[in-house]
Amino acid sequence: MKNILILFLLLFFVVDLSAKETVFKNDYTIWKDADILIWTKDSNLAVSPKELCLSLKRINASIGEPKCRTFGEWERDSVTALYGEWLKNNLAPNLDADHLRARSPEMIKKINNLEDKTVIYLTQKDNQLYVALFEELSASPKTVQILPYTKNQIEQGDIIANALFKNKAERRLTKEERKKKAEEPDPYYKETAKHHSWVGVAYGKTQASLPLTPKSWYKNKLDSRIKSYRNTKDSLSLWNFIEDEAPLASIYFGRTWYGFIGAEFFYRYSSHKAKIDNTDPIYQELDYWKFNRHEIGISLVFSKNYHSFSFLETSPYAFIGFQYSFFNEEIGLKKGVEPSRFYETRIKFENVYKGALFGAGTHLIFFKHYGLNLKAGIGSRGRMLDSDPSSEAASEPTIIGGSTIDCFINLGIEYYWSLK
Amino acid sequence: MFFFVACTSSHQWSAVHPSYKKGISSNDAIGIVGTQNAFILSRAKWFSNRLEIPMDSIHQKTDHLIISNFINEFKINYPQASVFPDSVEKDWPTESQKLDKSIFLKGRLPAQGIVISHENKTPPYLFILHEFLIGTDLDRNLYYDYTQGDQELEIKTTVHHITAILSYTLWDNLNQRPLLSSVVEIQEPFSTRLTQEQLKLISQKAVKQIHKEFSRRIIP
Repeated sequence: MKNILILFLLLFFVVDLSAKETVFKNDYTIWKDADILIWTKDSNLAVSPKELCLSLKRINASIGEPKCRTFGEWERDSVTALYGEWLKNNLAPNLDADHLRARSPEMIKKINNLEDKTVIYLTQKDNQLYVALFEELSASPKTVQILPYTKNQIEQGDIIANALFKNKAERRLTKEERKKKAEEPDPYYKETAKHHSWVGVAYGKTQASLPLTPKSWYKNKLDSRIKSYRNTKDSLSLWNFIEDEAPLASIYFGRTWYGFIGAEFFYRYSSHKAKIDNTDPIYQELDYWKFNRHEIGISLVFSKNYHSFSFLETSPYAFIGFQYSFFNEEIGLKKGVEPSRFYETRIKFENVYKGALFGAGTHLIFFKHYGLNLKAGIGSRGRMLDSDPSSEAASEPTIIGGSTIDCFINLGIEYYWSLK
Repeated sequence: MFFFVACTSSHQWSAVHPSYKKGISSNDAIGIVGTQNAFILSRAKWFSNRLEIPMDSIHQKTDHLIISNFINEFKINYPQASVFPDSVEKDWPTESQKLDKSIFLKGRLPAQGIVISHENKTPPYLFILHEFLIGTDLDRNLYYDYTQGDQELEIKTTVHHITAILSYTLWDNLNQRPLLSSVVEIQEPFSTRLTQEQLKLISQKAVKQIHKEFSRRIIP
């Protein structure tokens, strides 16, 4: 007996579920405190407005205090009467929204003037209830559903509410908000460039000689060796003292505004060995001698976004910036060796050098968040040029590294925040 | 890629309503609408020379010749058909129907909710002829594909075909819906001589083609 009851219940649900059919369903808004207008050309109303409203409140907690009534204006109007009759004849399964479009300009105007009211059209056909939902600004119904028909008004209200009004309700807009929204450009037009923020780490290489330039430009500097801890041919460029080729690591973060102008803060690190003259016996006491270069700076970035594929945004850019360079000396003597006089009086670099850098690169942003960054440029560091040389300039000691230029290239991985 | 391009160049020239499953039979009553103003003759001078009809009456005479022949042929296939005067479609709104991605058919269709009748006849179907174009070596793409509408037509001195392009809608008069909308192109080979019989043959072929399309059924 119990089994039969379960089977019966199961069958009931199966029938109930299969009875509901969605002909088509496009997006429509469910308004909070909605105005629901029931429109029919049938002689009897399938659901009473009161019951429908109670069902709505029962089924959708977010709908607030809906108001339901029969749409008398449309039931009496000759324009809507024609379309209503036509709908009654033409509502059928296997149709698209376009097949049910209202063609008469007067009818379209009436639908457009609905504002934020929702119209549900009901018609009963062979024990089924056809429901079409209309919203402003659309000549065809937003959705058409074929629902089971029942004489029980409460049940019918629940069926309709379940089929059409289950989603979360949105707040109704005020008159001013509606006006503003109507004047807003559509989503396709509104595609202004996004603001990007990013953080990244990069690894690359730095060297003094620019590719495709003659070797002779650098020959003197690169061939130079430090004798007796301080003597070189020339002291203008630091490349006379230290190796120029070195791996370059950097971390950075930046942001662009309107996809065009941006700024990037960066920190770069590279380690350069001192170029000692190995033939000089003085260095026999020396274990290691190198300079760690730390650079911090900010650059101004000009970029342009290209939406190359659905998953990829390309953003080529050019940058110009300034930086401070710090050379941190690391030196050590062999164990148990006393430092020589030359060691004690070895060259000292300036505490800080100031320089500029410029270059170009491109960001490749995958899936809006994951970026690759290829960047190349030229950087300089030298003495502070913001004070005039004093009258005693000639007697002042020469500044080591008055102008040190290198080029660099690096590849970075980045994380993006794409903020609207 | 080329394959893709090649595929997109062939268009669908008719649209069928999902409810048009049965196809109409030859015993169905059909009202023929729009025949009085549908005819257009291009290259009138060419036709005037070949058919030896003076220029001032070429439009009128070919119109009468082709359309009356078309109606007669139509009535042979559908004996219950009757011609409605163009005055019935005076108040119908002009609309575009989409046949394919870039193919649109423009014509007048009855309003929703209004059944058309004339002289106490209310046929369940209306055959609405929108345009009947006669010319030489025409291509319907240039007339109905809006992406190609701006192309200039080159008039060639040597004529290979006499072309007829017809656009029509089969209308469900009782439920006011377009059952079948189509653009038909008939190419009749032309060698040296043009006779009135040849023009009649073109309208016969057009009716045959329309008849074929009417009996087409959708596979559910």
